[in-house]
Amino acid sequence: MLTEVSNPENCCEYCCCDDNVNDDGDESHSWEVVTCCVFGVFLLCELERGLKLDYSMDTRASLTTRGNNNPQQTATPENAQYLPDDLILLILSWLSPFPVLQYSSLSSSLHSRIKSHSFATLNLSRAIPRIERGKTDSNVPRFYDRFFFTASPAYQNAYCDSHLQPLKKIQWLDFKVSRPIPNAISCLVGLETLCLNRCGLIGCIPDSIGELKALKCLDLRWNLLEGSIPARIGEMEELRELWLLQNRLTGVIPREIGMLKRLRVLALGHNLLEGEIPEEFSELDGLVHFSVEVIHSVEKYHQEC
Amino acid sequence: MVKITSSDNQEFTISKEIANQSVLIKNMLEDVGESDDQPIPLPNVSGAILQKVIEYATMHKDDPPPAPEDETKLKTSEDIEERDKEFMQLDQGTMFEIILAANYLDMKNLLDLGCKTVANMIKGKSVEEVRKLFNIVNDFTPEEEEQIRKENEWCEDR
Repeated sequence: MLTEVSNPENCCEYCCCDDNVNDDGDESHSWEVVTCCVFGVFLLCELERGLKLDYSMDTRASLTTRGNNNPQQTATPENAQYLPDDLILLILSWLSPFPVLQYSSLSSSLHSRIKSHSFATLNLSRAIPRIERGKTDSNVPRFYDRFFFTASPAYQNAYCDSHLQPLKKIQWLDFKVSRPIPNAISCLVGLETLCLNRCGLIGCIPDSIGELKALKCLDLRWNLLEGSIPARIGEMEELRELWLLQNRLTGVIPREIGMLKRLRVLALGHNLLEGEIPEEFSELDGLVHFSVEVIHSVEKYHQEC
Repeated sequence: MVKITSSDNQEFTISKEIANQSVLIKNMLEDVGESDDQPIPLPNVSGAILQKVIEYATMHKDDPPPAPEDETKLKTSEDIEERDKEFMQLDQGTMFEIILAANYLDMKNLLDLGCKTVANMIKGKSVEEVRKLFNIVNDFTPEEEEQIRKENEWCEDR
């Protein structure tokens, strides 16, 4: 009964034919009309279907179906929207994040707002529960943590803020995401250990990783990372361990790594790096492990894998 | 008791505990003080809708104050009380007007209820169907639309 009488498709296609009840001026008039029509249609429906219809169900939907006679009237500017964008967004915020993204193509104004940080934050607060991680360490990724890698940038940022922020240690091993490291990683300024081994990470190491000033251990071993090692790694003054071995990193080793005075482990081997070892590295007094085994071609790399 | 009038000049007399569920009315009452007998005008809400809103507020007048928000608990759109579900058995036009009224009157629970109900209606609908539902005019060129589709492609559920 519901679908027949108040089918939203039928209704909204022509609902501009309906007097806008919120319009201050014509209200009393429009309500008279509405009531009359409703009553008429109501009776008709009762007779036709022989069903006992809920009165309230029948008002708008039936009225608007009458608008079929004047389809030209659709989308007149003054009736362009029935609910304002703000309220449409509030409604959409109750959907889960992935379906919501497809609705970013509803209109240009909704597009920019669905892509915004504030909408992502609101949507996430409803769609994904705050995870009770107990401590500041996360050694096992939760189901929703995948979202951090697969979502759009605004959601990645929002997820960082709302779900990962208190963490000091992220150690997710064999967490097959097959996505790049999100730029949003730079939000986690309290992070001391970031260990993403064998996660199938692709793309470049984001430059913004240099924002992680508290980081002591960066371990991205056994991934498919490409591009050069960002020079901004040299800004992570607390860094003790840098494990980048077994990736597809190219280019020269940045001399800025030589500024990391506390560095104890520097493992860059089994990449496609080239050039000399920077002379600044001689100042790394605390190094206890240093590896830069070179492989000379991608083919060899694949053989080794 | 508190008097309120709708946009079409219907007057309603309601108890204070019902009136206070609307933050807007609550604030107005605080501003004008207890003594004032003048009805509070609500020019954005019609009598028919106000009637429904009062019905909702009456139904919930004995609700315990909301517990502090438990952030680890998932608040989903499916999470609707049975009596509220029945209350929202309305045609779509009335439903939208109730959402507008709840927003104007600043009644969070009713606004959430309305939004959740419509969200449940949207689930599984195509973009074009949702445009019709909200009467949204597509202002993208086909090229732009294709661009956005591609943009979202890599964010698919896995």
